[in-house]
Formats: sequence, structure tokens, C-alpha cells
Amino acid sequence: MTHSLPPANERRPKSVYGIGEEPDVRFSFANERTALAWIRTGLALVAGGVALTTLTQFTHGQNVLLDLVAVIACIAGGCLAVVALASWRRNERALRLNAALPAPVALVWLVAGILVMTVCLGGYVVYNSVVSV
Amino acid sequence: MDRWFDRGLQPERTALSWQRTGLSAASVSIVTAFIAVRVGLSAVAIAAVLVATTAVALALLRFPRARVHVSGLTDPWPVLLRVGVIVVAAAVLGALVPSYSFVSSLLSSAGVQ
Repeated sequence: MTHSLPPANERRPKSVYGIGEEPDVRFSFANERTALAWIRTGLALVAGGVALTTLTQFTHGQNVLLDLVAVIACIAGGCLAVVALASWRRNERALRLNAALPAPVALVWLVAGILVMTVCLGGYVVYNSVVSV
Repeated sequence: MDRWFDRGLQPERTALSWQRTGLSAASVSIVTAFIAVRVGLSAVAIAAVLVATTAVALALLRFPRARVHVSGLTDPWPVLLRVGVIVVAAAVLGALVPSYSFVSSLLSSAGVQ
């Protein structure tokens, strides 16, 4: 029963709705929520960057390393939002073609990036506390 | 189509997910606006407030309406695209403040006043 759906040629993007057949609507909803969860992950990175900026502004005012990390976190967050939209399209296409879902490529990059950043910031904290003793 | 109706509350969960996303974007932008005011970048602050307002509006527009339970009536792509643009804008604004203070500390350490 597709009585309330708009005609296929009016649904955007055409690269998604022009192919395959209508999947179980629950799967489409799940794909939508997955994309939103990725977008929120990106937002969390931006929030981390903004928090770091706030921290540097309210303490020393000038800290080149923390500023750099904040810029990188914000840019990575913006990139994740773009990746979220791209993966939504890929997943929705796979759902409509009844194909296997593609692997979440961004996950590896996200985890690797967060690990590198954790090690760097942790090292910086240890270095600072050793120097100040 | 009616078999899945309200089973697992899919539309409601999805609508709440939209709200979480919109409100998160709004709060990040508001904090950016505050810190931009403190640093003295008022243009960035104004842009961040605009981004926050748009994010709240988008979250409210996807609020669950009682009888709209068919996904095809509300294809996510147009709104998803707008939210993506909002988050990228928030990221750029968030990056501008530390870039500004990064550049100004480099300049001051190079002796430029």
C-alpha cells in the first residue's frame, strides 16, 4: 500500500529514490536515525573544540597547541557531518536494492583520530605537570 | 503498511533523534557565540546566533505530528541536508575563534603588535 507516497519522480535525491523498490519503512527510519547519530558525533567534536577554546580563553588566553587541537576538532566535526549525509545515501541505496549494507568507513578514522588526539593531549598534560614540579 | 504502526515507536524515536540533533547544534552554536563575544569577534557571534536559531527551527519542524506515520510523506533528505549545512556552519564558526587566537599569538610572539 503506497497510497500516500508522492510519485517516485518527485522524491529527492533521484540517485536514491530512482532505483530499487521501497524498503520496509522501519529500515528507512533506522537509516535516518543512524545518519543523525553520525551528525551528533560530529557536533560532539565541534563542542569539544569550542570547549577547548573556552578553556584557553578563560585561563592563559594564549596557548598555541590547544588552539590548534580545537581547530582540528571543529574541522573534523564538520567533515563527519558531510560523511553522515554521504553514508545515508549509500545505505538507503543499499536498502532499496536489497543489497548488503556498506561498512561504516568513518568509524575507523574517527577512532584512530580520537586515539591520536588522546595520546597527544595526555602527553602534553604529563609533560606540563613534570615541568611544573 | 499498518502492521508496523507504532510497533517499536519508530516515528517517535526518529522525531526525538531529530530534536536531539537540532538542540545539540543550537547549544554548541550558543556557546560559540558567547566565546566569540569574549574574544571580540562580533560577526562570528551574530552568525552563531543565526545558526542556533535555524537549528531550533529545524528541530521543531520535525516534531512528530499525530497522524504522519508514513516515511514517504516526510523523506528525510531535504531536512538532513539543511542540518548538515548547519553543522558545517557551526564547525566553521567554532574553528574561527581558535584560529583567530592562534594567529594572534603567533603574531605577538613574532613581535608584531
